[in-house]
Amino acid sequence: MIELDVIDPDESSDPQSDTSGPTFWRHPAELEEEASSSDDEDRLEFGPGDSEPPSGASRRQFLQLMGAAMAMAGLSGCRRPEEKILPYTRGTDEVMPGVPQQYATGMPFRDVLRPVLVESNEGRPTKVEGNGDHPMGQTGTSGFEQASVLNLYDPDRSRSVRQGGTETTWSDFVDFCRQLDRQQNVAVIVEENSSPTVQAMRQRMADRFDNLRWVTYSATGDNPARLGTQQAFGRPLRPRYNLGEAEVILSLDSDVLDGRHRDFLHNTQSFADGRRLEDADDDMSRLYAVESQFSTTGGSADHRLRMQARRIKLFAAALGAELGVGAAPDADWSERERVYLREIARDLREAGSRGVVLAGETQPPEVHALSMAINQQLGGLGTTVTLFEPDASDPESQDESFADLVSDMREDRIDSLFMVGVNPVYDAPAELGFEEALANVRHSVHCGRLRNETARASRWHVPRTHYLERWGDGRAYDGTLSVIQPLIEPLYDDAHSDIEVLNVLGTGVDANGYDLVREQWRARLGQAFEEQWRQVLHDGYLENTQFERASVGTAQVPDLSAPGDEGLEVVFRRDPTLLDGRFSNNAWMQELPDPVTKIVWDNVATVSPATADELGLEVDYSEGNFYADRIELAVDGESVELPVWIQPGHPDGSIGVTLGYGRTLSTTRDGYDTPFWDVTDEKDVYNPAPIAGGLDADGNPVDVVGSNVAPLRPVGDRVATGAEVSKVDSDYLIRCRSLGTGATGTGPARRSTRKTGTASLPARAPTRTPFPTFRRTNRHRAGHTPATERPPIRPATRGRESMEGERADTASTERRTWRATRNTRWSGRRIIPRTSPR
Amino acid sequence: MPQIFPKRANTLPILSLVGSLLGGVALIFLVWYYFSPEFTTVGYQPDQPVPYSHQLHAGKLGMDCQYCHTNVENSKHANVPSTQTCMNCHGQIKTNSAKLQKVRQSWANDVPIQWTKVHHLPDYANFSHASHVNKGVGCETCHGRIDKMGEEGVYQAEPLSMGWCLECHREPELYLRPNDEVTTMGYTQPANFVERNLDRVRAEGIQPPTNCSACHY
Repeated sequence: MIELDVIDPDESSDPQSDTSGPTFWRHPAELEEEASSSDDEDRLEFGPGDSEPPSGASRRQFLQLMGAAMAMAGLSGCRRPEEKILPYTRGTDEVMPGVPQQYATGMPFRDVLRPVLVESNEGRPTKVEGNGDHPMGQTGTSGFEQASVLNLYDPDRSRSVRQGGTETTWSDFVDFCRQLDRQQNVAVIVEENSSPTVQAMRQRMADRFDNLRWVTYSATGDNPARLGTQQAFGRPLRPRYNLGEAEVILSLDSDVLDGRHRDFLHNTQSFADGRRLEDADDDMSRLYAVESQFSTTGGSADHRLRMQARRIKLFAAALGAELGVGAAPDADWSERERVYLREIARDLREAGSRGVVLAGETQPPEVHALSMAINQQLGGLGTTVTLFEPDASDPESQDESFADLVSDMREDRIDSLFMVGVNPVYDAPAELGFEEALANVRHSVHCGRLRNETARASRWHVPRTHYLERWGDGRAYDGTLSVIQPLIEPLYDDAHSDIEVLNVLGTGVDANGYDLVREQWRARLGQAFEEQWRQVLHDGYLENTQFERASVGTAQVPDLSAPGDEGLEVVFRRDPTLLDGRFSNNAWMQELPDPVTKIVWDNVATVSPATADELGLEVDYSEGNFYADRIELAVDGESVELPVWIQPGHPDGSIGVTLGYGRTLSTTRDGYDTPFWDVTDEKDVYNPAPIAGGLDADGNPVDVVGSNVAPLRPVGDRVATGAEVSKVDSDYLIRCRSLGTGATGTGPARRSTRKTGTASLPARAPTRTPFPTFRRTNRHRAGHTPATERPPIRPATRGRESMEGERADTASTERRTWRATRNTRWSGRRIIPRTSPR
Repeated sequence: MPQIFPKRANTLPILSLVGSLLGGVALIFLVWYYFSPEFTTVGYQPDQPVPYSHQLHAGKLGMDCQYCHTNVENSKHANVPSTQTCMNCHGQIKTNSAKLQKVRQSWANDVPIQWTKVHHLPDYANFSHASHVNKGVGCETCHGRIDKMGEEGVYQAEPLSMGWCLECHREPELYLRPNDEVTTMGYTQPANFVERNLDRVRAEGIQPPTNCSACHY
């Protein structure tokens, strides 16, 4: 490991002498606040406007006005509610009312299965945790597993089979499947999955139909890591990064520490292992991030370089050339970039087999192939990188097969199309014209949890079960096999799993998912099936089923050409909370702020301050709210309107957008018709439309959150170039938790000044030039509370001991059958008493 | 001009003052008592679908509470027994009783009997049977003489208000009993029970919480 001196001459004008004001800020607007504020300390506890008397219709006024009405309405609450107790009819040994149980199962996430333990309260799944006993060896989960429970109870879930938009029955659908002719041209579009049973169903369909097309589809296109290893080694492999073994890590736009990454838990844990210092001799790994957005990985990096996504490709090639892999491309580098290139190459070369280069999903397969070649050159294959040999992986590009399928659909060469768990009408690139092509298909069937855009455009719609209510199987990232066992019967009788639907298509027989999965596993387990089956269900995995380690030859170094076209680039990503729209109608995920921008309930076009300046875009900050300009973003004739967000650390000339917004879902529940004085009606507590956005009776969108950017995406890529931006209007309110902390939230955990900060590292602190794009309004500062009036912060008090005992008693959670008891302990919660500043 | 008010009207202001004062105090006491759970909920005795008599089963036949309410030591709920528990005996005795019609129906159709909840705590108050029973709070202490409640159903014997809970949480030594007497009905404490309970409180570290978040979390 080397110590880098200040490597940026632009910012090296002795940053240690500049101690005026804090270097810790969450948003440029805050930086400006600080600059004009004499005592920045009072911002620690109270947010702007907190000391103001409430203006407008405040909560207090509302309560005063409503007090009388409430009191009268409340009288009906005096009536004793009559509650019923419904005991089981047949006693059960397993369920003890009031004591939750845990079951091992797995959540399908893209093309892997994430092993989880799910808590069940009297037969209702309520909480998802990681399965720590699984060979993957991690107890935690990402936010998606946590929020997946709410998807199960989503009131807007599709409830019945539909044909041509009107309700029909499951048996009608089975009849329809039976009548399908053998000579028909049948195509199936499935979501990415890892299920051996789905593969078996595919075989059944191939046996039944002479012309079967099977296409795997994902909202952001094929996995470039898969295609990259195909380019490098001749077959698709699955790389796993052992970041704990690495001394020097270079991330090329790779968001490895984000929950969206397939191997997220392994990455975070092994990265933490490499950073942990337990005694004086321990070394820390060093993380370099070269990225086209401000990501959580970049936030964890020691050195971060912002760069347009299309130039990262060149950076990778130039780095490869420095390390003796491939030829250097023809590119101009800034001074800062050149220093980074030199120092990263030097650092990686010295680290040798303990250096690793990771390529991210926004990068094309060539960059993945090149990073594999670099890792091989460094000697990292086998130490920092493990290559798994997946059992079944089509070598062809999914993007190409999908595009082929759509053109066949348009030319009437497809008679029946089955779409299972996918939503291409919403998220396929517009240039393919999927929706028009779909109208050409005689029999189109959509199987999905929600009655979404594709469901409405298809002839048939079959509700799909949630993973907590279906039998299935799959493989974890390392290949370990698991069975998905349901925790509850399907909430709606018509809902069926993808395995059941595909089996009906393949055989015409309406079989139960349980029998289908067991049939496959019986062949796999062989002897003593029942016993092993029970063990697999109990443990949540089958032992010793990891993928083989691949042995590979010398990696082919791809030819990386310089990007031709200039202009603005647009980088498409899955949303950090909504993914590709799977979690759109999930209030927890809508409410969860973006990890960097802290924006909720909206998607934005993220640009750098310089780009915003160039385009004449502004975000106005006033009284704790952000008012953004809205732009029309056009790529190749397709356009979408989005609010803009100015993010320091974002590369210039690049626009970041996320998928998953702008949904139009059709709900089947009844509208809101309870009169407001009827306070005893607790049945209908929902809005008329789904929270992500719905349609009214005339088919017009209502309550749509954000805009759908997926149609703008170019086929087979995640980066579009030559985008055009024009301003539409201003003063669009962005819901953002960027600054509204203080007394209402948690302030920064730690502050530092430049003096005590990282002296040997390049100065990453922002320059003090105010960002011209932020206008600040001073109104709210008029009544700011002086620092002396602030109540003192008292030391934290601990929860009482007796309480710990009792909670351990009552909240003990028993894992199903002979598993150790987990204690949920009250862990010294901080209580900071606070008096109102008003 | 004649006087409108006679002289004795001079006492009116004083009378009305005293009256309103007394009336106010009386009103406070009336609200205090009549709006309290002690008045509004004690004695609540809803109709039950099956005329089950605790008086017969627990009193006369002497069945232990835990024969049916099996999970009371392990769970926060003292479960209402499954139909199967009823049918264990009534599959063989009183098989033709008209009163058991609904039990037999439930067993045959696999549909639960819908009992009406008597002891109702608000949703914001968390209560665990296990932590109380295992620390020596008797069934009778909260539920009264269940063994005397007959076919007309169980009624609520205690107010189950927060103040009532806190009486015991503040001075548990006045209410606890040995664990093997928890299900006893009509238990009489021995003369030295306060010392005995204080010993137990010390030995087992029983500290019933009185902070808000102990129950309201």
